[in-house]
Amino acid sequence: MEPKPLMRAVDVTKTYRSGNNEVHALRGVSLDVNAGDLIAVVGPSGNGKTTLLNCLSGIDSIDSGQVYIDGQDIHSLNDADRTAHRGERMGFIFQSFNLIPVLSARENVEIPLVMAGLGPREAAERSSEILERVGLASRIEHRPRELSGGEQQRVAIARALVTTPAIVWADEPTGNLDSETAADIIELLIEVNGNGQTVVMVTHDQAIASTGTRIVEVRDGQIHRDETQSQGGAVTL
Amino acid sequence: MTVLVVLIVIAIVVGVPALIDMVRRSDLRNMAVRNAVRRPLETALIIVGSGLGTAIIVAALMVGDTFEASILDFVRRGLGEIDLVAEVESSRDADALVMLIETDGPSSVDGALALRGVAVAIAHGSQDEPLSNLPVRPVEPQISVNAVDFDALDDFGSAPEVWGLAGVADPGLSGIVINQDLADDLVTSPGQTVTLFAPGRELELTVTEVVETVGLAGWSDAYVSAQLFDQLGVPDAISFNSVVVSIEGTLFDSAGPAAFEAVDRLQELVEASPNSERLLVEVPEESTLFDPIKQNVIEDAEEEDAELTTLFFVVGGFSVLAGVLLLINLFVMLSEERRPNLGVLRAIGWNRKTLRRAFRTEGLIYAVPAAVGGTVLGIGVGAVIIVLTRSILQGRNPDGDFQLITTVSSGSLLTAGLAGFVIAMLAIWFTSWRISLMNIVAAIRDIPAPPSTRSTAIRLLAAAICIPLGIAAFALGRPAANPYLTMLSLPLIVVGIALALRERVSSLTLSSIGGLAVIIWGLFIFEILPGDTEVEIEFFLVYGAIVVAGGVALATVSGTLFQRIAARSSAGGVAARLAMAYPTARVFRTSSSLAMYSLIIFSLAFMAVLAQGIDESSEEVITHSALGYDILVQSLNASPLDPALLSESDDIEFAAAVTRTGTQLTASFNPETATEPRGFRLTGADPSLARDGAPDLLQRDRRFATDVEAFQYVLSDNDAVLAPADIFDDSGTSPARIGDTLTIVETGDELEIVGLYGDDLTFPGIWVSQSVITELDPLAMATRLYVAVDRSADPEVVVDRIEAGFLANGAEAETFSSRVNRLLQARLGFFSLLRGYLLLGLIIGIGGLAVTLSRAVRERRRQIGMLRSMGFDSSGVGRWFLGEAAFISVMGIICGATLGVLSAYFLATRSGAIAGTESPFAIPWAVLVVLAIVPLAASGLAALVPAKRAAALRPSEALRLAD
Repeated sequence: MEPKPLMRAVDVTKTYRSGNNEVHALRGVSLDVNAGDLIAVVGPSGNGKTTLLNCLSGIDSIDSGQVYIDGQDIHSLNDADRTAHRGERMGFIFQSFNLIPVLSARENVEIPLVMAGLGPREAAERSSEILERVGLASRIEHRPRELSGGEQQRVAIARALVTTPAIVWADEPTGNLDSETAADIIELLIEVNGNGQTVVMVTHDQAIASTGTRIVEVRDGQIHRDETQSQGGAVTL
Repeated sequence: MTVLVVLIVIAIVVGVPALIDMVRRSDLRNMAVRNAVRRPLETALIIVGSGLGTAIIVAALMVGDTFEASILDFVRRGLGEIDLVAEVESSRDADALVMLIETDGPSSVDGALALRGVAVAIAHGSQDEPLSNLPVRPVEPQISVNAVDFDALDDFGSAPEVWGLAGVADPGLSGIVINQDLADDLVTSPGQTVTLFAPGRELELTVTEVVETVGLAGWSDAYVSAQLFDQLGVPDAISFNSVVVSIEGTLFDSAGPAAFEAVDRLQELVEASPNSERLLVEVPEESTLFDPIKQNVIEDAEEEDAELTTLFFVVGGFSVLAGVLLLINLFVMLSEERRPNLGVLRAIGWNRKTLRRAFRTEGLIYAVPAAVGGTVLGIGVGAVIIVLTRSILQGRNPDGDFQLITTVSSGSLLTAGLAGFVIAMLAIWFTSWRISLMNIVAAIRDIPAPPSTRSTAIRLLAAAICIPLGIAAFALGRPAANPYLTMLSLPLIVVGIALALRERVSSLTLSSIGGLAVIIWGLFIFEILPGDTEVEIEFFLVYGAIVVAGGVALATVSGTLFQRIAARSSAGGVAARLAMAYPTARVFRTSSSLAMYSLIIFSLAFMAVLAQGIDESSEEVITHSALGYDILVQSLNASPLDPALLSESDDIEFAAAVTRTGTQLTASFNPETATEPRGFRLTGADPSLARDGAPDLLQRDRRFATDVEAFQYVLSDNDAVLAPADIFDDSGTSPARIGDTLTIVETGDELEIVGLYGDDLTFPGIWVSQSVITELDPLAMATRLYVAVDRSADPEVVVDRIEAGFLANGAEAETFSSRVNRLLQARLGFFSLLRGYLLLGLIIGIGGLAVTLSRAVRERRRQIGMLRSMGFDSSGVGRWFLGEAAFISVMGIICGATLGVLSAYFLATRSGAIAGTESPFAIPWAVLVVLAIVPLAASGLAALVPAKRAAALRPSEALRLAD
């Protein structure tokens, strides 16, 4: 019996309109994501990788189709419920880190915990723990501008993981980093995935994509290729 | 004019290079225009913010123009060709003096007239004549009527349009010529009858002519023929015999040096004449017979004009400062937002100069419309201020002749417009210079610039300049009693120390210690300054700016503490944390916004406290001014009202008369305190006046158990006085003491101060016994009456009855409560007006907050997108931005209100810097609550749009646009 997918997308379409111009970003995409997957979404620039991630995670709306997470069609929820659902079940990592510049590394990581209703002391303890786990024990009280790009991305990863979400969405997580730092970050994501968390990662870098347990290639708004890699889950950059 | 020239030069220096770039450099022009057009709402807000500053300057200058024009009109109407006036004892002396001038007077004299006048009452129609179409008979209890030689009028002056009596025929024995103002008051016209209440008789006269209230016809309300005046039999003792002189020249040229020269020449002439002893008998030594009245009126009015204009400038100055801060803040935000792009431009070949030019070109797009629009808006603001001022002046003195004529000169508009333009461009120059110092790599990567050895050297150099400069300012300023240098000294030292220690000591520590030091310095500055320091109102602008700067430094530190507390509690969640985290981290931006708020709230709170003091003192002032009586009656010198007559009425319990000297007397302190002779009014009465009330004695001699006892002693004793507490103490630094001696120069009598009283809105001057007055001026009449009404009577009804029943005495009555309230309301009215004026500054502050938050939404779009992705709902985003607006507003309100109240407290209790405002310190809680709620609510409303916009951002859109 096949495992029940953690996320199932059915015939998802998304079109961007600007004046008389229409861009069909997603054309009837269907995709299952299973618990424990480390999916690398690849494809040329402008072919819908990021849109796919946004639509599947619910941070962008879709025109048609369904996206089920835990059996719930997230696009049938209103904005508030969908937002709450994201807060409970998902973590996000972006290319440009998107940390709050006026908060320290610990305070940035605390945000999802505070949103989840944790008390300040517990939130601080858990943030510190996870920052130690990602190798930033000595940088906990530093603000983003005082951290290197790799360190900032580690903070972003810590922030995405601190609530132990079911799925971590990562959009070009190494796009702003040098190759050595990128390798460290990917290693961290693999470690996260190794702990049982599902990771969906958009990348244009084939080498990074090869670390995924599945590769999903998006071309012209459609899934062009979806294959499982037996050698995935290891860093071979 | 000098200011205008300086402004033109600066405007050329800062504006022309930008204009040339705008015309010649298409790249700079296109970038500037597109940046401005891209965000029309923010561009509009920048222009409005800057324009309001210009409007404030226009309004202040317009107040000055209006007063200047009104002074000229007042002089034209009240004096016309009259330049000099001499008071003499009799009509014979006046005629002799005119003859002397006509025979041997200096050639600059363009005419001299002898006038004989008396103050009388006058009524519409005849007393027996029934009234038609009028509910009550119009009366004027106190007017001046003069006799003049109508045939001599043509030789007086050279400008018939301001003679007032040009071509007027002698009204004869049964006629009277009246001015238009009196005709309006009496509702009469030529051919109608009026009743004149001359001393001892009533005369029915026909109005032969109504003349424009100008020149001689403004000097006196009415004129009769010399023969009729003779028939009235007015004794010389109660008539005014004067000689008015016209000097050659135009209406206003004849004042000033020409008048002074003529006064000296006429004095020489009189001294050399055989009648000199008679003519100069009343003239004190070192003084002259002729008084340059036109020049004196102009000088007095100009002084008042300058004071009022300065007041509006100082109060407006807080708003202008807020406007400057807004501009700097906005341009710093603009430059920060564009920092990566500007870094790239630097990288591809733009040098620092080009970067500055680009900013200045864009600045021109904001500065020019702001200056033009602000100037137009300022005319409206000025007009409103003048209308309100007119109403306040009218309330203070309903019978006053001074009329405000709304005027604005092209010079003022140009000055204000240029000032607004220059302020805006200088703010832009400053920010363009700041951004041009960027580190290119750091700018492109949008990370902090690493500290350079150059910037450290500059900082240390600045510290090395500030510290000795501050020490020098104190060393030079305090001994010289210079409040500006003294006030600036410690803040300069603090800034210098902060710059020197910046890398060694945390900014939190530096800000808190420095801010606190500056606040304490400001609050105690009047203790630090020498006792004889004269403080001008302009000082309060510097004072306010420095104290608020200290407060803002402290508030910023408090913000960090609040943020830490919030982080340790779960209250408010993420929204509250972010609402505090951003303002606390953006020190420059937050400080500017806080300073904008604090400056305005500071001045509003400061004025509210002073106004509250006046308001709360009104009951006390009424009680003490009234001396236990209900009504104050003023009657004519020509026919003073006998208090015994009043006391006969059933509704009047008691009436007592007081005598006031007609001219101010010269007196002096003993040498220990002050020696310069000064003029004062003396008021004397019999001991019967002090039945059960006394002036509000702030201090009294220990001999007396009560104020009434001291008052009775003064009225009974020739050698004791009650004096105003601020006698000889305009600056509030050398108050009189019990036991000080006043020496009356004329008689050599020495009087001991046994009591010092506070505010008294009947303005008695120095209370003395009746015998002191009699010795000084045996002919002085008791024209003022204090009337106590029967308990069952209504004082307002008694007032009406007195005025109607004693018209022949020119009785003008008013209850003490309405008199005091009228005068206090006028004072409070000015405070309200100034507060209204300051609201413009508040609008700038609130508008500034709205723009800052709008820009913040754009700047933080990426973070908003991220937070929304993570599960932060849209209402949370809205709460974050509203919370941030509330945080800044609350900090600004607390900072400004606290400093305003404290400053008012220290000013009221520790110094007498505001002479004449002896009001108790009182905190206006209700006003402070309004001061807190209104700006907070307005800030909330202003933040609503950016907050909604932030909340409406869809996460994917925010992230996509940001990336």
